[in-house]
Parts: sequence; C-alpha cells; structure tokens
Amino acid sequence: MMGILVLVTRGIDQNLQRTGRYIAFDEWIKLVESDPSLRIRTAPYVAVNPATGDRIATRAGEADSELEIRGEWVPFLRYHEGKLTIRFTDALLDPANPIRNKIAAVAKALDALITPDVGEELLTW
Amino acid sequence: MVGFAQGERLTVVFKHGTLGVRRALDGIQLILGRLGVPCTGFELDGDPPASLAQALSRLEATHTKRFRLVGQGWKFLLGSVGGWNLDFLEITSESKPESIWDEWAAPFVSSSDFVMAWIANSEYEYWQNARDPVEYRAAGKSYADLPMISNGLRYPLEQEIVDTSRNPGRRILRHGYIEVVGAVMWLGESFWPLSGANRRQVSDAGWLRISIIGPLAIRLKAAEHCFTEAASASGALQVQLRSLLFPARNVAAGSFVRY
Repeated sequence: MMGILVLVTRGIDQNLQRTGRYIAFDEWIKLVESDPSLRIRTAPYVAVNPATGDRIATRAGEADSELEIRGEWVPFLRYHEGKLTIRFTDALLDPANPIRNKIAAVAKALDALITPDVGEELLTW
Repeated sequence: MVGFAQGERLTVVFKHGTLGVRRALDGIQLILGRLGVPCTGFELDGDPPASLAQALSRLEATHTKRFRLVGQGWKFLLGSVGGWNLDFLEITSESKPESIWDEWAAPFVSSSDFVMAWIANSEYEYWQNARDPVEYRAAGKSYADLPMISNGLRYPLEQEIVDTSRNPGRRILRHGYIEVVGAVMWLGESFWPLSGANRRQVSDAGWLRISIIGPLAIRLKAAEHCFTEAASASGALQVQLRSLLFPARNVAAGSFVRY
C-alpha cells in the first residue's frame, strides 16, 4: 500500500485528480518560521555505507526542515518543486507517532492532502 | 517512443546555471508569438493545461529549475545537469516545421552563455540512442540484429543492452557540451575549447555551409534535411562531421544521454 515517500501536496484532489495547484516555496518557509517546533535544516545528512563503514554526507536541500521532538531535532519534511516529502518508515503507521501527527498538522495548515508517492490513495492521518 | 515520433527537435545547450526557466520561457513565448501560436493550453509535467505565464509563475514560486511543457503541437523540455556542467532546452515539433528552426534558435544563440545547438529527427535520434531492450519490445521493434553489451552493473541488475557506441547518431554527455552531430548546428564561442575542435578547420571545410551568426556563433549546414539514416552516405557524413567537431574524443568516456 505504501510507497517509499509520503507527500504533502495540493497537486491532487479528493478524487485523486490532478489539480495543477502547488505549495509555494515562500509559503512553506513562512510556515516553518512561524512554528517554534520546526526549523530549516542546514546540517548535511550523514549515512554510513554498511559494506565499507564509510561516512557519506549529502547537503541538505534549500528548504528541508527539522522537527523538535522532546528536545531533539529530527529530519522532517523536505520541500521539492511545490510538494513536501518525507521518507516512509513503519513508525508512521502508528497513529500516535509525533512525526505523523505533525505531517497531518502541516497538511491541514496548508490546505493540502497526504498521499503515498505512488499516488493511488489518500492518507487520512 | 510516445508522441512526436515524426517531428523534429532543436536542442540548445547552455553553460550550467545560465538557462533558467524564465530565460527559456521568454524565448519560447517570443517565438510562439511570432508564429501566431497561442501561449495557452500547455500541460506542465502532466497537470491540467495552463498558459505559459501561469507555468512561469508556478515554476518560479516553487523554485523549480526544469520543466516539461506540452501543447499546441509543441513539446519543451528544460533540464539542468550539474554533474556535466550544462543546461539544455529541447524544442520538439509534432510536425515537420522545416525552415523555422533558425527562428527558434535566434533568441538563444546570440548569448555568451550559449554553447551549441542542433536539429534532429526525433525518431532517428531516439532509436540511435535507445539501449534498453524494453524500449524495443514496447515499440514492437526487433533488436535481434543489433550489437549487445553488458550494462556493467552487478548481479542482479546486470543485463544485456543495445550497444549504441558506434551509432553515427549517438549523443554523449561531455563536460559542458554534448557530443552529437546534426544536419544543421549552431556552435557558440565556448564550444571550441570544450570540444577541442579547430574553428578554422571547420570554417574551411568545403563540404559544409558555414554562416556567421552575430559576433559569437556560427551556423553550419551539413545536409539539406535532418539525418534519418545511419547507413550509406548519410552515415558516413555523420561520422565525418563528428570527427571534425570532436577530434579528441572516443566513446569510452562520457555518458550516453538519457533524459
């Protein structure tokens, strides 16, 4: 049922029809700046190659965000061409998950919908 | 190949980071206006039709650096390839527009950021560069007689693909330009040091018709119509032109263009 990404988008409607609507970059920045639990990420992402142990750093996007959970900042939604994306994890299946709940709050604030990247259903979080 | 199979395409290459959505759409709107084509009814990345002004507004508001616009018998594809240090704009006509490509090229070739441009038959260029057998099967086209090579990936991703490295119509991404030939080409000031071609040798080639386009670019014509055959005299002409424009290159390096 689930794709690799979860999208927050205005690009589809309740009937999964394409709308041509988008979330403007400035709109997203404004929302992040107005919410103390959110901030724009500036630090690179670091991963470790399991085969070699090498650390691989990739630069954060121009409007990737972080969410504060119990004093710790964790990667949150990324802005990309009018949509917000986040990698799907099993933890998001839990209705009590704070990241899931924040995604739902952001979608509501932006009058947007939540969908897996395969785009075949809406997520009513 | 889906759509525009019979049409022609102008591809324009710019220095990386210089051909943004506004510059590209300004040029497109200018020429569509001159041709009397409405700047409305264009699908942006498959979304409902909109005007080019609306598309520009959306692209800028979302900080988008590429687009795919289809409408009014035209397809426009803007891309930016940071790893190869170039931007490109493909302008594809559903029909065969013949002589209007000079008009399309004009707003772009006069720029100091312009690198190169060429005209191609869409179908010919596509199949000269199609390497995945899936593409052939989907089109009901046999690849039984074509040379095959490994894609070079490890198991389980390894598979045989069509070897296009000797095709006269092959495109290869190079740093700052694309190794390719067309019946008509425009070459900017920055093309020469990038490709290693000798401008004088090109200008003196008696088998080409060369014209000077402003202070920075030249236009060369190698054939009356777009290349559509890899064999016979046409194929030999493409090989000869490739040797002249890309003398130091071989097919082992670079990356085949897959948009």
